[in-house]
Amino acid sequence: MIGRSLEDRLTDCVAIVFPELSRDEIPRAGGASLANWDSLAMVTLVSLVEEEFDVHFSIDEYQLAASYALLLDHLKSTNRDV
Amino acid sequence: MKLREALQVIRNSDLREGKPFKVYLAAGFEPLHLRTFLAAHLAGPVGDRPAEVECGLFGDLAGNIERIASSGAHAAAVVIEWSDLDPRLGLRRLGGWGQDSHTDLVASVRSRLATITSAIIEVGSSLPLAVSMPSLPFVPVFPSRHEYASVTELEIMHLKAEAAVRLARLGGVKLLSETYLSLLREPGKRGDITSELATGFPYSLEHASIVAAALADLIIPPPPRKGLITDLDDTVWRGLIGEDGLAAVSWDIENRSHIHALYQQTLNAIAEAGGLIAVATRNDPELVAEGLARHDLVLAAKSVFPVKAHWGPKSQSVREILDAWNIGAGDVIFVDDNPLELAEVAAAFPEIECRLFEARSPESAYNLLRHLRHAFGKSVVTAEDSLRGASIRAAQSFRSSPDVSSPEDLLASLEAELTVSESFDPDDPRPLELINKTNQFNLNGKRLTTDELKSLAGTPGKIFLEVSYADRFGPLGRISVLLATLDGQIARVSTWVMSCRAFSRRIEYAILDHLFATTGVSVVELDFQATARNTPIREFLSSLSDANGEAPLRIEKSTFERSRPPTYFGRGA
Repeated sequence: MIGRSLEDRLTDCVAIVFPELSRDEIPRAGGASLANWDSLAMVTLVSLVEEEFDVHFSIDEYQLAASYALLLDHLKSTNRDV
Repeated sequence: MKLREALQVIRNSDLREGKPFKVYLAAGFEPLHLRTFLAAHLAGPVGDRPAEVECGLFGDLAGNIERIASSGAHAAAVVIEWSDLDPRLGLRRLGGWGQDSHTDLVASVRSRLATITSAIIEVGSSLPLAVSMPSLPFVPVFPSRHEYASVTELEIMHLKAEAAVRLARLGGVKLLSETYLSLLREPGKRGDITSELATGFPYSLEHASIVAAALADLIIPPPPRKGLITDLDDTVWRGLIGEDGLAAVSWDIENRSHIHALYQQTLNAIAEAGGLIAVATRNDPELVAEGLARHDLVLAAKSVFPVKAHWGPKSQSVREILDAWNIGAGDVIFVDDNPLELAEVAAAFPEIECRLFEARSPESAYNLLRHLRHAFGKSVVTAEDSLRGASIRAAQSFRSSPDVSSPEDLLASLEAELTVSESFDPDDPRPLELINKTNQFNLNGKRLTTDELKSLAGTPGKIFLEVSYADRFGPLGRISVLLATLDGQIARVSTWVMSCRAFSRRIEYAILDHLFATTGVSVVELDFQATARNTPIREFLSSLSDANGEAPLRIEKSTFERSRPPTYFGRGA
């Protein structure tokens, strides 16, 4: 979406799966800090990110949904910024 | 629907109060996003309450189907995939794809399908159930080249079709159409191999949303449209009857206008299933009458009422037609070949669905025919459906009858017969159709599921009244349903609906009279709640009750007998 940063769009995706987190908390969030950041949440997050950024995660890349930071690094490395 | 939107819809739906509408989703694979999309697509149709989707155990489709009965669900969806019928037809378990493994593949599929089908039949009689047969393409289990349809492949497809037919013949089970799925998503784009191997969920997001939306529509079918208003020139026929002449307008292959004949055929089919058809044309009325009387017209003239032919705006015709039909604009589709006419009607009636008939593009016109069949589609056509068009004509005759000098004389001359049945048939769709589609004479606007109707009507101590009407203008069929409970000297009415086609005949007074007479109660209490559209019943009840419009409304027998007007009904069979 023109005008919105990659970080904002990724934050939106995480916020849908974890509505209890504030936008300020999301950049530091992940499975290590949240009990409900489980495999189901990761799978849902992968699907949301695929849908939002028109990317496709390989089977090995599913583990990148373990935290916001890992996802952000992956999206930046695949040049998905607008 | 995107996954993001679905999750947002669910989050908003979870904030609703009230008892959730619960659906059990039975699948053998990990239901994941199918569950999400199903809950989201159900959120709209279930109204003000939350929608809840419960799932069973991974890898146990037959067991999950058996669990439906004890789940407390209001409805269920069963989604079968090839991997449920034999591991060799899936990806997550190995069973071998070599030559030797095929010798018993058909037998294995036959056995598993029989088990699954029997489980569905067992539970399908107790609640509404939607079934999706395998929709993914085959894995490369067959040794032949892909364009070759092997006997094994054909036998498996035959078993699938046989099982589907067996299930479709059951009253409470609805099958998801493969033809419908194919139009929306080609088989090769339905699966997601990465997702299946990583999570056990085999569908692409797009296919999951399509399947879920279709299952939701099967569980809670959208109400079909009630009326279609059509233009004539370059719509029902090719040409302008006023310019080209009666003999020159066409609808046949030789004149390359056969698409119009197909359109007429579609209108006939809609009318036969109870849809109302009317004409709105800017034309000379006499010429239009001649055109509609042409002996080779495919459209059955008796199906068309009313015909509005004049030189005024189309919106004027639409207004007059809606009045004659007594239905809301939101229940109607208007079809015209002229975008300007469509815009004029849309501006006057924003709720009407306006559709362009593109006569010069048979593909576009054909897609319109498909859409019309879909919009007016119903899984069961009742006897009342075939009466609907004739009863509208009869109602018009009733209102404009010149035979008598006063409304009272008219009512007395009707030779009206009222039949009240207290026998509840749980397999008859008409009572539920009346309860869930009537708006104006509806006690409280509450919609019922099949199970809820069965518990309110089919148990001892409950009162179920179903009323049929006929007079010298013709039969209206079954037009009213009332549900009540006896509590000593009080009959507590929880549901009362009556078709708007039956208005102005004082049938409602006769129904109350029957209730007082057959139960012996001295008070009828009604769970009335005002809605945006139930003014007719509100005004009727206000004339008989001293309450201020708040539930429950009480009608004393003495007040009723003092206030009721005369009625002139003979008793039917």
